Amino acid sequence: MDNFIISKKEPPSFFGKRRRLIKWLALAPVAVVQPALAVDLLKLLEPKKDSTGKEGPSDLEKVLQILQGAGDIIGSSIDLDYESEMVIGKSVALEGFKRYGLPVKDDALQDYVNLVGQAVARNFKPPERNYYFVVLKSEVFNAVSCPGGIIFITATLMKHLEDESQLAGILAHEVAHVNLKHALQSIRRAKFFEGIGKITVATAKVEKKEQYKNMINDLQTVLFDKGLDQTMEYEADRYGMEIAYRTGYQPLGFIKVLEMLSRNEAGAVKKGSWFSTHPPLSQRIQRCREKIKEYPDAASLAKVAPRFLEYRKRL
Amino acid sequence: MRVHLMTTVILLFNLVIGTATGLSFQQMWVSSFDAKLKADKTASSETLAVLKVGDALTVQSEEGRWYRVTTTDRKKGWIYRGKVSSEPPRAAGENGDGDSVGKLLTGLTGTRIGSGEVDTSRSMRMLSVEDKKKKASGPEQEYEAALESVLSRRIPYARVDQFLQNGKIGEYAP
Repeated sequence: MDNFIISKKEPPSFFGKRRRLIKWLALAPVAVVQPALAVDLLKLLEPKKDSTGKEGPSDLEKVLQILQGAGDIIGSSIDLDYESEMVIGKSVALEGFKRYGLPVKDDALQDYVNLVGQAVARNFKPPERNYYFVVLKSEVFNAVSCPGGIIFITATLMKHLEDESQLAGILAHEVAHVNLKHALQSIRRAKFFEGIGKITVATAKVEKKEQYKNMINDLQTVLFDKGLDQTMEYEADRYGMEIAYRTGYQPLGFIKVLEMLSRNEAGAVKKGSWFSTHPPLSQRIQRCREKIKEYPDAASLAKVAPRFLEYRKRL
Repeated sequence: MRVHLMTTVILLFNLVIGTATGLSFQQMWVSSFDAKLKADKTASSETLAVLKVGDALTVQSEEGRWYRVTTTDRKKGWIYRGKVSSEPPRAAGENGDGDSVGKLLTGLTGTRIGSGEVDTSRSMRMLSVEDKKKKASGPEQEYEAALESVLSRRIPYARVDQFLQNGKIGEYAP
């Protein structure tokens, strides 16, 4: 049993479930004669909301939170608000520029990559989150997501892509990492997070300066050298393909990227690259190929090669 | 006795399923930002409403990549399938039973800004005004200027829609 294969990949077909429909139709009279009960049960199916209309934790979640304890580091790092995540993300992004290179100075190209990124991100983001996509001048093959939503793709990786669905696949994968807070989960035990509820520039630069520096160093090691946990990568693969598919791009584009990386692995720079920070490509390709079976109409979706190639020429 | 038991089980099953499904149409939830309820199953048709993430919809039929739906305030129209999920969206990172993507597609908790107030142009600055005065010189300044530039890029949703339309992607596909 593969724990990482999700059970539902596309919005379920209404008419494809004819048998269930017939069953429901047969049961409709029961619902009609029990309207009050029907309303109550439907209420139970709705998202749980608090008095402000926002979703709140369930009783079980509350119990779990209590059991975890107020000082639990896991809780404090994962529950960081967007502004706190961005304080960390910006520090990591600055280190990323030092490591990989500065953004390519081409507004049209950066706009284009942002348009693709925003198109996929709006199908998978919390309301308060923004994403920023950046092409970096770099000789290595890589794409990296900083906490908060600053996402890098290197010029070298982009030069080796063939169409927009491939770019969308990579950006969707990185969006998934950010939204699932993978990087922060990886360093959740950092001393810096102890007693921290909200991170401000003052917290980071003054009050806990040393601990903050160490935490950013840990994050750099995870994101730029060691890589995230394999399960997180597989999870981001799954979500990324789903997001690209929902947007209307061929999810196969992401598999094509993995295959291209596999072909280029032998002669590529390894340090700080996709090859050193991601699980073995063969395993990922295999898992993604399993996943794509869930999209029977995938081949009919958009690849958008001509537009992509026009922008690729600029690199 | 056995027949009586069987009848009771069937009745109970009917009661639970029948009541839980109401009039038997499938329930879905809006899972994307800027999801539009259209008058017809094309992106070029009139926009009847812009729906919010988490809005419940009742699916009445399906045609191609579009669902005919009714909103909770009884508006009827069409929505592109990529904008809905079969389960209510939950907060990112919140684990639910079965780890379905539909459950996690968009977070709703901790929201302080309504979706109507958000577009991709919102940005936060790296440094406060006071901090800017203390900016480092040389390469450090170059990195910070680069980050400022990254965070100030503005992509309104209308441009994203136009971009998708030009590429014939998603709801704009022929």
